[in-house]
Amino acid sequence: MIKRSRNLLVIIISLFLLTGCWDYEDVNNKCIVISLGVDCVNDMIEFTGEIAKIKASSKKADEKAQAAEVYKMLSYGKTFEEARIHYDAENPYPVFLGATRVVVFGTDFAKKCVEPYLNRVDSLYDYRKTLLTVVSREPAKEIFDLKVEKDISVGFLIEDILNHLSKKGEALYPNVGELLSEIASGNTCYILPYIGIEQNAIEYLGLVVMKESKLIGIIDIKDTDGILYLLSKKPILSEGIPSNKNENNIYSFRTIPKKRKIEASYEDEKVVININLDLTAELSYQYYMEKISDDEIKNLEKKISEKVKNSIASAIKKAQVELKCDYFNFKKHFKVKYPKIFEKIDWEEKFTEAEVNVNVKTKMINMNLKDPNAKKKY
Amino acid sequence: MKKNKLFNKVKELIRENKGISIRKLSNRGIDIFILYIQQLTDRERLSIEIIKPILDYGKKDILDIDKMVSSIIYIDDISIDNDINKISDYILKGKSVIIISNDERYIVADTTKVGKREIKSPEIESTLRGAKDSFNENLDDNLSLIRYRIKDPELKVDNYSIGRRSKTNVAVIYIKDIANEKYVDEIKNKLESIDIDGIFESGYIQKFLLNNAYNLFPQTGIIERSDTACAHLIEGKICILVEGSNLALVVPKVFIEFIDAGDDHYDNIYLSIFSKFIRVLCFMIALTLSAAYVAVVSFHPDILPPQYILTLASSRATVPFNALLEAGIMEMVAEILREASIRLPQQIGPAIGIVGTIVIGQAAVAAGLVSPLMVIIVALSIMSSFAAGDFTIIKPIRILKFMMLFFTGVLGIFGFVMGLIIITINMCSINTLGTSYVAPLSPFNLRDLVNYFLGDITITKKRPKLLKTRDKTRQ
Repeated sequence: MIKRSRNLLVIIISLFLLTGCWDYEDVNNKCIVISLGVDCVNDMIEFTGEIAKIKASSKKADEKAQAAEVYKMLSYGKTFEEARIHYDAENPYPVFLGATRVVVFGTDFAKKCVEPYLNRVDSLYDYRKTLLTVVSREPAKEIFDLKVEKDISVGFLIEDILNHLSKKGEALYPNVGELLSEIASGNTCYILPYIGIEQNAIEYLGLVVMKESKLIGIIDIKDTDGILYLLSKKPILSEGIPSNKNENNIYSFRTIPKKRKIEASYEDEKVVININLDLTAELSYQYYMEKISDDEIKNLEKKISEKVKNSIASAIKKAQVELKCDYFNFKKHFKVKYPKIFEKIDWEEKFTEAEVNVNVKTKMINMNLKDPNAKKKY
Repeated sequence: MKKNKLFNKVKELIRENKGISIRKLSNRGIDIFILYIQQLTDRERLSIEIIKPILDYGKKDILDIDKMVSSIIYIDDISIDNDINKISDYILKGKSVIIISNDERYIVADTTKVGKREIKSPEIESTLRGAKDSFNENLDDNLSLIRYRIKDPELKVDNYSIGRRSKTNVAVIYIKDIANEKYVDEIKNKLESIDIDGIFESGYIQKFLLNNAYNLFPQTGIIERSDTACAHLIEGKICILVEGSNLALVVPKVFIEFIDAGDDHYDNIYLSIFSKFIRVLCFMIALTLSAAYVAVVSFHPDILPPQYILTLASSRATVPFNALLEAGIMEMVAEILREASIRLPQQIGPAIGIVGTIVIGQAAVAAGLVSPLMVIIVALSIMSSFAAGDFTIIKPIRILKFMMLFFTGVLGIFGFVMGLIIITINMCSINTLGTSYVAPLSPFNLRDLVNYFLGDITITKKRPKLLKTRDKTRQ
């Protein structure tokens, strides 16, 4: 009994004495970084970003917690470490990166090489590996200096814009974890979202192509459809097709890929990439309501298929000819099917010469709901 | 008066002044003494059924003890004894002892009448659907509630008198051809080995039945409702009723049964599963929520989505204490309120609710001493603790949550997991009457586990395997 009580007492006293000995730091005593910008200015690394201003509402009637305010940070150094020492020295609390939502790379920095920073994100334990990375047209500091009214802060705004666009399939949302796994698997080409300031507001501008983690090209938002059809997880895009009968009338469709199959083959020492895409097209509305005949439906299906096919083909052409970079990751399909041949060939060269066959089939659905003459027709 | 050794006993009792009343009667030269305690005796019965027939006796034959028992006294429960040492015991138990001058033997007549409560609705085992006749402090009433529900000749009631001074009647009830003989014998042995001066509540017996008095978790069930007691008996368990206690004990009881409520067996099967799921959730919330808060706030905020981290940080912006101290203080305040609300008289009970709400709910937050989230957590934790099927299972939680809190305060999520593991190991090592406390999870028995969660009598064809009953089939 005495022995038991003694043991219990020792445990209780140790618990009291050891409380808070290891890694104990309340979340409100940390500098919570919401977003971070990395740029290159005069051969110096520039860290910019936003830190949450933790404060409770002063209004008695409104006692709910809020974190609507942020303060900016800025530091320079020749290396990441130097820059980090600088901003550590400025902040009242230790920096906490677990709530960081976005890392913005300035164009100058992206042109040099973003891989070191991606590796840094990988090894710093508190960074989330699902962190969004974007490249900005303007210097990162300018992006964070912008006054944001649409959201809590710049970081939140960028993340929210890309989040909702990627959910609709209108943009890509590559996170650091995915990029690092791409790099680790030997894929040197990948795509990052591209943002900029338009009319004093942050806007999604398109995509940038990274080769060996260096920016080599920019794809405008209007040319990204072909890429999205192949790379987006669930691209639901809008296509406007003019009517044959009335040139003022445009049919607006939502196209949804039902089946996406990419196959690579090797014929006569030539890489052949076959892309089969089955789409369903939902007629959202017409500019002017007209009766749609069965022939018209077939015609529209054909037109949609053609349009999508062209956009995919031109996107691939750009990758092959202009950028010479396989950011569609066709390499993966080829490597899986022909591992031995893959070892022998120079994929980058073969990719630029590859024959690409795109086959798009479209089936129109949900006509009745939007067709005022449906009853008459059937 | 002839010299009779019983008369010496009467004189001795008078001398000792034990509060025993003596009524002397005389019939045809025969002296009759009736010994009883006024407070324990139904005096109306004594007058009508014993004194009156004796005085009215007018036949020529001289009165003797056998004649009195067979043809004079009306009392139903009557016996003849000759052990002089038992006289005072009989009288102290509320019986009337009749001594007759021409016999060395004496008559014991049961004229007991004890002030008792009526059979009322249960107070701690409240139910929507279940029966409302709960046990009271009278052993006979409690036995009658069981007997009228189970009219099985195999229903056995073994009586014991425990307590050197209190001589409390204790009844062990079981159905002979269902209950495991080994369990019954073990209970009986344990009861027989109790050597104590007084037993006043079933809680005393409960402590003697436990294998380890230092164990936190309850191993015997406490039952207030007679229908629940009968359900346990039919299942193959053993019930123990204690005179003067309105709470019966049921053994063996394993952990999983503490999340079971009587209503579950009467309600829809889906509702039963849902209720049990809610209760398990509540058990976990009551045990771990505060500790989880400390783990998240102080060690691992990154397990939350970024937006929540900011909300959490802002809610603690003005709090001067660290999260561990904040949680510890608030949990302690909540425990004080709980303790106070149990002890308070019913009339001023609601006052504690108001004080509690104002003190911990509003004033503490307004003063910036605690975060609003902490108040929600403590309130939820306390609320969850009231959702248990059997309230006794919450008692260990009240202590263990503080243990969890300090383990987490030292090692974060590792301490949290460590605390849970220690509790699990402790539970696994408990053994109640040879049954594992965590059965049917370990040793695993899918049928028992499913039956407990479904709680539907139409599906439960067999009795729980863990009880090792003699009759294994229910239908």
